[in-house]
Amino acid sequence: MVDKIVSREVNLFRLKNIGFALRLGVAAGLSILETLPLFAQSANHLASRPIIIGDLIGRTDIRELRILTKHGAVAVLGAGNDRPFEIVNLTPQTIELQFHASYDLEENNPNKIAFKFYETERALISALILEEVDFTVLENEVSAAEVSQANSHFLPYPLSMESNTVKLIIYNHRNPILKPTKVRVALSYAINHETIVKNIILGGKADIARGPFDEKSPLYNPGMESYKFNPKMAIQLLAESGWNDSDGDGILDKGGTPFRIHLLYQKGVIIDEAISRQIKINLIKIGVDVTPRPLTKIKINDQLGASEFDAVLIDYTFENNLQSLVEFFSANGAKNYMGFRNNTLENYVKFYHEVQDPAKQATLIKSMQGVINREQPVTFLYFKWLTHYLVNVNKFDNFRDGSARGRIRPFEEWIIKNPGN
Amino acid sequence: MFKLSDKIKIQHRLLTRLLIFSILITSLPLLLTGKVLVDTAQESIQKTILDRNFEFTIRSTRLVDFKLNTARDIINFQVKNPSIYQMSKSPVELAINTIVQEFDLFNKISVIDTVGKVIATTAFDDQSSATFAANGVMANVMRGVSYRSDVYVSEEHLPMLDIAEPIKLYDDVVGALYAVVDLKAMWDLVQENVVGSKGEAFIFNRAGVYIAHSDPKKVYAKQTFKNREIIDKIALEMNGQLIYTTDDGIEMVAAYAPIGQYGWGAMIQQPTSEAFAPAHSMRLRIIQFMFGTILLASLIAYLYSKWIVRPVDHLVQGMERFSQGELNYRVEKVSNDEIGTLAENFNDMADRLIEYQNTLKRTERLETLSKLASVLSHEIRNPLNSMVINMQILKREFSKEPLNRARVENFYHILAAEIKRVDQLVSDFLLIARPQKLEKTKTALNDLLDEVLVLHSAEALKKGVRIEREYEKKPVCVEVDPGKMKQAFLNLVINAIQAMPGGGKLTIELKNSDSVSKVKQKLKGSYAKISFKDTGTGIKKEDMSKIFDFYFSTKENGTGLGLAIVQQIIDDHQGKIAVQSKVNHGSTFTLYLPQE
Repeated sequence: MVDKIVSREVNLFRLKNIGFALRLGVAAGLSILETLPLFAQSANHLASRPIIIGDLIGRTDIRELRILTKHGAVAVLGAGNDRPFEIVNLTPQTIELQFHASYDLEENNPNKIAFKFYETERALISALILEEVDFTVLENEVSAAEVSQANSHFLPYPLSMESNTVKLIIYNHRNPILKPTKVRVALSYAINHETIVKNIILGGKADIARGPFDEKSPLYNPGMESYKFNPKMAIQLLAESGWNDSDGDGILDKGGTPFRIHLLYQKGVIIDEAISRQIKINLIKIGVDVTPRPLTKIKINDQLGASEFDAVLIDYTFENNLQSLVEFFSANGAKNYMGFRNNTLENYVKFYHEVQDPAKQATLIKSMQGVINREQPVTFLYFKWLTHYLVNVNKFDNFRDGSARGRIRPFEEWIIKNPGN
Repeated sequence: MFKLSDKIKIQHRLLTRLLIFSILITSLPLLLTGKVLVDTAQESIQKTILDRNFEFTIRSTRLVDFKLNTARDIINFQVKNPSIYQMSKSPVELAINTIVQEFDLFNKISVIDTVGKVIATTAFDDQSSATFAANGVMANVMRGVSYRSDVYVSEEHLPMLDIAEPIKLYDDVVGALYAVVDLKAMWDLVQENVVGSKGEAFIFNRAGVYIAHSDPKKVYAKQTFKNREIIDKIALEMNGQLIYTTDDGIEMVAAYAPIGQYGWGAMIQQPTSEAFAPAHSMRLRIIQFMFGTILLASLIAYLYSKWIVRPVDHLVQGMERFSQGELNYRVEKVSNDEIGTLAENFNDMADRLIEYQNTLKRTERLETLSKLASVLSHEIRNPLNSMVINMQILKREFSKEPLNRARVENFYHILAAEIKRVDQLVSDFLLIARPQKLEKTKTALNDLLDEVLVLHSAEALKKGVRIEREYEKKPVCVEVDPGKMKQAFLNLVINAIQAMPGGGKLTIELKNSDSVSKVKQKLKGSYAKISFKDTGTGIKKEDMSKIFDFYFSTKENGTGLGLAIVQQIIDDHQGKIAVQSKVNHGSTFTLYLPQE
């Protein structure tokens, strides 16, 4: 998550390069991890001035991990001689980067970046409070406040989310259970968006999402159905699709197949776990048996790439353009993990390329949203307003840039307050 | 008669005494009251704080107890829920997930069947339930025994507690409801009971391990409470309050109490420096008020004493001036009280005294005149006899032929000398008998002395007397009647020359007031000092008291008026005269004349 906050480019890189992850595959991923000890070496050959960044294995795929330097975003596990740092330690729990001695650093700039990955957000919170970590990003405002309250060296800095960053549930349309539109629509009706926003995103600091673009987007289609919580409608739609509790076990079945799906979510992320529980509770009431399954980000990416999933709870950021929609929803889209295919939508894409008038193009994009809204290839949950980063202000200075959002500066530009200590 | 300085001392002593008395009379009750007030207030505040902390602690233990009982009640209630005891997966999952969602007290709930299989769990990663199912506790629960573990710290550094209840269908145990209670849910309770900005509230288990602490860092860091005495008391289910010093050397006011049957303790403590700050502040304010009041009382006492002493002061000053010879000075009546009456009486007394003095003076003068007349008649008789005899001889000489002119002239001179002597006697008599009014003018005594010495230097030389002047360079100027003072100086010079019949040295010393040893003479103010020191015969001890008496003289031809006149003149000038003498070594007559 940290890398996501470091820059928008990082986020994009992750998703744009999901193909890279897919190409690597599980075997490739494992081979990388197996070779990690080979990279381990002493980090003490230079005076160490590290920043220790805490993150969760549930939200970080180290294969996608990039950090923003003064010269742009650089892949941590990339190759090439022009990289400003070398990896001095690499384990499944830790990555340590050492900037080259020739790199332009002041004596009070950090010369080393260490990533520490934790299983759960609670463990990360403990590490923050005990100052085992200098910096992290916490999506959960309550967690950020808890750290700050327990250790006054940490101040939470709210950072407004990028536009169109939406929490959604991706359904695998290759799964026969989830292929019918009515079933997906029923699931969207059955999930109580309002409860999620009010009770889980405490204070309701999120907007319920209807589609990929938020209301501030010029491409937002206000005519979309909201799929307000309506379990009766959900049951009706499922019944229309042939799903009934014929054996009285509380779970719908159709042709002897019970309605059971797995919901993958980012391991250790408190909000995701709470949302997964809420979805489970909501769906079990309509007879859908959901088994939430926490996985590391690497595994989620791998399973997305391999289409080995039923439903996945993820965050995704859409650009305000056609390409972003096509990439995710078009049959040939690089990130169409769902296997969604809709001819109307494909036709709109064709029309879009044929018309030159931007207004018409915008109308087409809105129409595409209408298709997505009707088809519910995914269930859009909410657009969160804020995330929070925490910095040990007792140790570091100069970590925010001058922008209105107060984004994080490149780590090597931070200033260590007492480099000698 | 007491001296001026004594009066001043008395006056100051009176003011001081009055002042001290007044301050004491106001301060002592105030100090005593203040002390009692401070002690009472401090004791009261301390007791209030101790009681408050104790109440908070008790309340805290009840809330924690309630919270834990709530957890147990929820579990107990759920095991009676048909959704649970029917052991059907979906209803069970719905029930337990709803509980976890609604109550932050539960970290995880699992339903396990009699063979240890997890029917449903809220943990989406179910390893912990599997662990529980595998351990020996399960067997007891399946026999219908409730279970509660000790507090343990999770990998995430959070205090946890396991509870398990058997699920019964009728009387048969069909499974167990196992819950991991997240004791972090109690942290808010602890936080609510923190008193002051530096206070602490915490809960610890039997081993002293913090389960909850207002400084969560201590829980995360797995720190322990180390006061064995309190831990032991908690183990004995005792509660109390105390003031103790932590290992960090901070004095704390603390209250502790056990929590239910868990063997845990709750404690609320606050540094005494902060807890008793209101008491200290109050004490400080009372002390400040007391000292302020004492200061004000002292000021009032001072002014009051001054007001009381002022008339006495006036009275003393009046007496002092009166005693210094200002007989016409009267004391101002500054009050209508006893002191005012005293002033009036003093003024009456002064009036009567002057009256008596005038009467006395008249009497004394008459007595003196009588004595003088008697002495004068005796003194005049001798020259008159001598004149009569010489006149008879002269008559006989005139009848002789030839007239012996030399003898006649001799007798003539004798007669003239006797007449002159009579004339001198009469003049001196008049000087004493009829004191003339002084005609004072600022006069340089140096010049006055020189005028006298010019007249008599020849005579002194003739008699082998050397006169030495030791004047200050700066002229010594005094308000005197020059004629009278010259007379006094003349008498002393003549007296000195006559005291050295075989010759000698007369040293005349003249000094300004700055050089005069006033201490020795006990004089107040500025006095010029003129001393006449001879190396003559000196004065016998028995004669010292009589040398200023009229007509007392140790010389054959002395009139006995010289020194008496000197004293008269010096007295008229409010001066002093002092004599030091040693037989055969000489005498020193010292005059002190006021310069202001």
